Amino acid sequence: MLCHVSCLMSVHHGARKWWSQLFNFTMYFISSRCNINEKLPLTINLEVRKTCRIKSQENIVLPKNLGDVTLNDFANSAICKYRLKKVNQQRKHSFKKSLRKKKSWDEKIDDLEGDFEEQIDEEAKTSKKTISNSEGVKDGIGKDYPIDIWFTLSEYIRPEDVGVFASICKTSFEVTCTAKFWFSLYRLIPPFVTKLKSLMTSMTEHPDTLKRRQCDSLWQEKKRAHWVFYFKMREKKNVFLQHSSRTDYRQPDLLEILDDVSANPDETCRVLRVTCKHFIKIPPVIGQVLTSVCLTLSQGLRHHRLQLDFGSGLNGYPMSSLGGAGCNTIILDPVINYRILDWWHPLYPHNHNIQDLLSRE
Amino acid sequence: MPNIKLQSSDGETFEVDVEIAKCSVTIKTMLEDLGMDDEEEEVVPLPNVNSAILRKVIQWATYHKDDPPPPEDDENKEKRTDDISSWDADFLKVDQGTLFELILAANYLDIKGLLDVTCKTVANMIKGKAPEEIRKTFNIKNDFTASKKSRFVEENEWCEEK
Repeated sequence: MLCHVSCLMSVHHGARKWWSQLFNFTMYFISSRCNINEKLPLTINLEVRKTCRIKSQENIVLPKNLGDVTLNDFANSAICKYRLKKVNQQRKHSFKKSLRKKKSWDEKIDDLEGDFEEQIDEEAKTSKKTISNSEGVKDGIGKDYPIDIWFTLSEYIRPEDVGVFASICKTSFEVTCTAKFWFSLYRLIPPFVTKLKSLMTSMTEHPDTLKRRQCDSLWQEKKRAHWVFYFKMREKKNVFLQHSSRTDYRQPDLLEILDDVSANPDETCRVLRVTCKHFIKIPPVIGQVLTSVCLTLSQGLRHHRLQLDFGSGLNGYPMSSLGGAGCNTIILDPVINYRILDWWHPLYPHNHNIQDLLSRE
Repeated sequence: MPNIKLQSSDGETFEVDVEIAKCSVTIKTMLEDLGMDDEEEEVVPLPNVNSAILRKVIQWATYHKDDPPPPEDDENKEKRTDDISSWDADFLKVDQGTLFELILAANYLDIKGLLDVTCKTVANMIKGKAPEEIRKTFNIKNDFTASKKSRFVEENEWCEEK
């Protein structure tokens, strides 16, 4: 697979300026969209994904300190405070079912013929049961075209039409969940990036929108005469709840990402990219929450001055104003340019993200 | 010119020039692998194509018999969908069901030119339409549940125009 990617990249001699974006997108698609079982049939992929989902549910249910249990905590305890929550019957049933289904790869391939239809039927039955949270099958009438048609058509779909294509029917949606689809889409990325760039150049968002986000990582790059600072800000949904329950948000590791075709470690992230004239020493703010942002004009009125206050985020106020410890203020001055990039933005620095993941491994 | 007999799924036989039949890589390979001589009166069964579609396929292949072989796809280029010739555009003015069946037949018979042009036509018809409209146009069954719908909306948010 990597060979395939490198071959694809080597064809890009004429488009050197796309190298970085191509790399970013390649790595992103490999990490977030590429299923390691890409060559395997859809049936097996579906099952692997189901199992992954069950695995992640398990992670939620089981306590972290399972290894430290003592007899006094459980059998001899007067209070049942450590009792595990009862897994609801349905989940237990589905888990058992998935365990029963676990077979060797050879057996799965043998079972392949005709199995897919069965699975679709099963899925249809399950969706009927959970009718309360679904609007049901709206139109019973109409034709069901074979998956081959959707696979063939998918090669002609523009990246901006992927959403529409996926929402035509279940089969077209399943096609958009395959690694093959994302690989062919990856080949269309350079022209798509060009289109996106022209659409997005006019967008400037105030960095205020990043308030209450946690600094996940930061780094800087020297680009010609300027310094570019990157602040990767992760959404922090409920700071108080996280601190009180001590359930730390766990980022998926590289293997988990490679195993899940729809995993995206940057889903809740935005990157603040600030281009400055000079190098500025940044205090350690990783893990801290952006509490306030102040964007004013710099001395000389030609550039901006950006002040970012980081704190624990518990008070909701910048701790610097209260003189509290553990707060950090970053003043970036003079700022030539700043951008806020969502994970799907063509300029989003995914390569740094992959390096980060690899170093964590 | 030597002829060959092609038999559709519903039993109808079509006598076609071998060179025209060889537009289909599937038929070409079949003839080569089986070592069928041009003089032989063998019938090539095509169980996946019915007579109405096979007739259209033969019509298309006859018109394009002198075309140069289609160029290899440049995988790094977005496939153009606005380069359909006027003859092909007229040829594909058929009902949507036939259009989809032509795609299937072109895929099965491995006729790249026909596959390209039919897919381009459908892709053009999809462009700028809402999913509901597309379903209505092509008479496609809506077998989605709300949970699935919300999942793909979330997954495809990145490529939506904002």
